Amino acid sequence: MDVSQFVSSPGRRAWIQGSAATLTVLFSGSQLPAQEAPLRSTLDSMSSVTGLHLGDQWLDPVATLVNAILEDSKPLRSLELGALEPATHFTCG
Amino acid sequence: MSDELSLRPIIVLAPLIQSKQISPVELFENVLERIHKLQPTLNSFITITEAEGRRAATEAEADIRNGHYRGPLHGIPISIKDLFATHGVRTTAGSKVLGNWVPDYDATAVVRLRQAGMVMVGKTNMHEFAYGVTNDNPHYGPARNPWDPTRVAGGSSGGSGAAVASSQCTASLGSDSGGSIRIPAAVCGVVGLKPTYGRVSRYGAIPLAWSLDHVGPLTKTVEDAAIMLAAIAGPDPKDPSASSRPFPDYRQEMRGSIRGLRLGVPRQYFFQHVDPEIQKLVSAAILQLENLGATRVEVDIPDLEICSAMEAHITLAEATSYHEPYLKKQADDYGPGVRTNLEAGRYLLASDYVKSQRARTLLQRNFNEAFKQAEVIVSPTVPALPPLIGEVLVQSGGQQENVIDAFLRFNIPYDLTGFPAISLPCGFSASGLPVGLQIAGKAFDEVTILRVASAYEQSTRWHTVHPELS
Repeated sequence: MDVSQFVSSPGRRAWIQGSAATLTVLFSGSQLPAQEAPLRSTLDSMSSVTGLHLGDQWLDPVATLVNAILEDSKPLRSLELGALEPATHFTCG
Repeated sequence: MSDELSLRPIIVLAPLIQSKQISPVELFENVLERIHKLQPTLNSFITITEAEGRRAATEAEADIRNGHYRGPLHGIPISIKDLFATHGVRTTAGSKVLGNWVPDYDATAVVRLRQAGMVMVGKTNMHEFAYGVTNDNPHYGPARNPWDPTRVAGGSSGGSGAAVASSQCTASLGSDSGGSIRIPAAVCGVVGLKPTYGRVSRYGAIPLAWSLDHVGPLTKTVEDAAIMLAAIAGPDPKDPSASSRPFPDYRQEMRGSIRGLRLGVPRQYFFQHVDPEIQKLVSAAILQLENLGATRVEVDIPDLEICSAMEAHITLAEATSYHEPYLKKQADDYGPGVRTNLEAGRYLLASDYVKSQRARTLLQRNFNEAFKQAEVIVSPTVPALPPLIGEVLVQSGGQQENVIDAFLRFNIPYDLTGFPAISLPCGFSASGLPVGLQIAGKAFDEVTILRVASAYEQSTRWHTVHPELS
């Protein structure tokens, strides 16, 4: 399976399902699409923020996933919510 | 005892048990034989509770013989998703991380089912830590679809859906944070009810995301779901989100005509990119509801395109927070898919998480506007037929889509709003795979969605069809 076909579902995030086939592709050393390479580097440098160092084995799939979520978040991020507060389900009952 | 009895729902079995025409012990042994026969093929269970089940069945038989009948769940074989703590019985959450955990307490929903007299037959297979939609479990093997064992059973309550569909239990307890009751219900051809958030206590359920987790039943009929809900609903001091709002007699209140009831059919989102066979069957179901006297009303529900991002931010952040202690010590014990999700949860922004929580209020308002024009909202439960085990892409009405995106799409709005939603069978594809109709309602209005679902179900025969299993 071509990685770019998997991760570039138009306009949608592409969670890594965990199927053996998918991860074999990702861990086989395939090159990440261009937009994920800087993100990989960014995530790697965030170890001083997270307090943890994410090993090489996980950086690529995590960067792929985070990038997909960020792409999918554009409508959410552009939404104006005014003074709307978080829904607190304690108010339901 | 006829093997046929294990195929029957609670509403058929309960009066026979109450009148002592059938014994809970014989029913249990009948179901157990079925479990042993089907487990190698369908892999619906992680743990089969043979000794405990036999003990419970024996006690139920004695109680009933002595005139102490507890109600419609007394003596009924029920399975529990392996997400829920069960006293003295291994509870793995489908994981290696908790592979040896034996709780010394029961989840509240389990307590209530025991009090109702259930006979627990086993702990069902599930997607690891409920963090997926296929139940393709790397540690315990996939749960297989009884209608085609080469295909997924859906998730995360896949073992529960498959067990009910194949009559390895009469009903099951599941959980739903992004569709995990309704997805397996749809693809396995059974009923799955996600109640309103807070209607059923989450205490004792291993969390995926605290603010999205719901507890509910998978059953053979809609009335069975009402019976299960009545047993498990209600306040719980151990769960601060459990509502103290009184609940009605669901079984009684759900009866009645749907004449004049308004069916909301959304103009946006819920009918986009749907497999043509699913579209046809759901459209036929809506027409059937109109034939029963309901009125179709087109409704607008804006902003639904943000649901997938909201679900991702909330689920990843909350799940990573819960799993932090385990990730420190047992990171390598996670399956690669779940591990990737958990690691990714560290890198999403708090501001996106909070915005997602705020946007839930917006979605609730948008849905409530639609509910001014209609009592329920109908849609397909999922837009695509279940894929082969191991496949990650499905066909959704002319587009290829990741199975996670596809299966979450029509379900997550109701996890995000907390509104109740039920899935029930509305037909079969040409290849013999079941298709689910989703009916959603206002907060705490389970009665209306049960009424509509039951009216449809009783006017069809889908719930009487069983998979052929050799």
